[in-house]
Amino acid sequence: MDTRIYRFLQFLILTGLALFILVQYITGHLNWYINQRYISLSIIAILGFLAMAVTALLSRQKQIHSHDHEDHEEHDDPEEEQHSAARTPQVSSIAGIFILVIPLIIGLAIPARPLSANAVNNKGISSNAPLSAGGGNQSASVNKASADRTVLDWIKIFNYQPDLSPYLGQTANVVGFVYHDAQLPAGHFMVGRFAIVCCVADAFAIGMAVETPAGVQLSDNTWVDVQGPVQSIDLDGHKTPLILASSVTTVQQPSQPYLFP
Amino acid sequence: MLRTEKQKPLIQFFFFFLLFFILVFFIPKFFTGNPATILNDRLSTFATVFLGIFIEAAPFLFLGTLASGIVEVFLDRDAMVKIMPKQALLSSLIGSSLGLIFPVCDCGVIPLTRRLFRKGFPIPAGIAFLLSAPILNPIVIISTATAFGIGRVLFLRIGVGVAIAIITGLIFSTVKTPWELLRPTPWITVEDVASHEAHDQDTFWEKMRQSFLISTDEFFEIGRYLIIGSMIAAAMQTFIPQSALLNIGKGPLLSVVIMVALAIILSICSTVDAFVALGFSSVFSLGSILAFLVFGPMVDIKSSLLLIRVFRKKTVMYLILIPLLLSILAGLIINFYIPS
Repeated sequence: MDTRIYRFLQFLILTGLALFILVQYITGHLNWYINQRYISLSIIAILGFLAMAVTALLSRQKQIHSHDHEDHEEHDDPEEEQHSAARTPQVSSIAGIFILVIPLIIGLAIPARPLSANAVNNKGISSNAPLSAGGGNQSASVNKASADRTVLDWIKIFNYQPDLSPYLGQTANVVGFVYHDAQLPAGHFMVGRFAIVCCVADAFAIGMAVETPAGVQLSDNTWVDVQGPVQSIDLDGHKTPLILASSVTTVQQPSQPYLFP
Repeated sequence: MLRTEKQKPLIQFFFFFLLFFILVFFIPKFFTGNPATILNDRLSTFATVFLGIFIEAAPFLFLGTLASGIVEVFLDRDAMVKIMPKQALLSSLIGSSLGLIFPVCDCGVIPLTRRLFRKGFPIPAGIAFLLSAPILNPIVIISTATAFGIGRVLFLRIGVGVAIAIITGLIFSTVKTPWELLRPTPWITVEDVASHEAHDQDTFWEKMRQSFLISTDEFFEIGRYLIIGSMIAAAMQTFIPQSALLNIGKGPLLSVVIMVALAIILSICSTVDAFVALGFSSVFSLGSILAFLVFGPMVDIKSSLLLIRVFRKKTVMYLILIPLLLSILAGLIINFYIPS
């Protein structure tokens, strides 16, 4: 492949990747892929890709430019020609370059969606999912007003508080997606969230059981706001929070669909 | 001629992956539910996980290749040969602690190691650097200390990681030249893109420009493997139910094996894996957490793809097997001899 075409393709692909991440950042969709705490890293990636793109683009001009330079011409020119001849087949093949376009293709062709109840089938949902046992985090969950606690806060309390009695009967008000778990009795569903530490690669689903008020029919993956007093049931030998729902309202998927332990 | 030979492994990988993809997404689900919806759901999960790994790893790979470019342009080969000791133990000791100066993670360290070899870095030092830099580096130390506090997990992670790196470095010290380890890839000409030793008179900015150009080419070379590796990791995550894996067993031996398997599948960056490990620390044994924290940065799906690109098959086999066995061994010793 001609070096100039190769460089130009590099420029296009790098700019494309940078723009793709930038668009995810602007639309807030970056939250669907990585923990919000690492978003500054993605900014580094955007800037780095753009810098590489510009370098690739300019390198073309530099080659043409150096032609005109008196002092370089004597020894550098034949050398440079030789190099570009040697480099062209070796730096990368067309197939190789286009693998770099795969993230763009996947990102654009498959509609962006955060992990949802569909992914629970592979990842599993639990009430005693691996959670950070850090004391500080846990006391934050305890100290919140009961209506402000997220699914994650409740799960932490149920996992790490030795005595649950002060919490039973408190009113929960949590948002999550509906997931019908096979181990739940009829008329119940899980209100679930994905918790992610670093990026979606380590996501795990957590959920609270919900006893549905009569007549409420919800399909998997609907986002709901569940309110009602909290009780405890045993699932798989683990104490799991159960909301005796007084109301279940359908809501929009939150802009930040994940929780961060 | 030369060209087609070099492309072959990558194409093989790609077809292997396509086949894998088809198996994962189609066959198991034809029997339950509407294939179209299921396919759609799986695809969407796959895409999200793949983009997650890629977006998270991309800045680190960029920083790694940039470091490699800077080493290439600014570091003088003769000086390097002079400074580095020839003695194997000393040289792997130095190599294993160089991560403190080059804070690269498991994606970035691979191109950088290759570059250091080219600059005359001794073999034991390079191998020790390759395995230890993703653990013994300031960013990883800070993130591990943040997750677990300054305590035994942090010290064990560094101690065991560096020990494995040095042992592996020493094992490799019988090798005479790096060319026995490295695949004869086109990278040698990457330097021709811009830099020459003759260009000593270049200004700083010209040198930076050259560093960036080298980093660009290297990003394109290594990035492909990062992408294919992320795709395989994402497909495996979409396919293998993690909950099943975690429920297999929590005994002193099984837990170590499972956490090592998890480290391989998750393919997360070593700079953040401490937070992930923290999540498992309440359910899994100390030895297994340690094995996760030590082996994960050395080998996982995405980095083994990068290793395959850079090193010969036999080298890659040793680079995976030696740390694997030593990490499991360390995990077992910790489980049996250190009370939790």
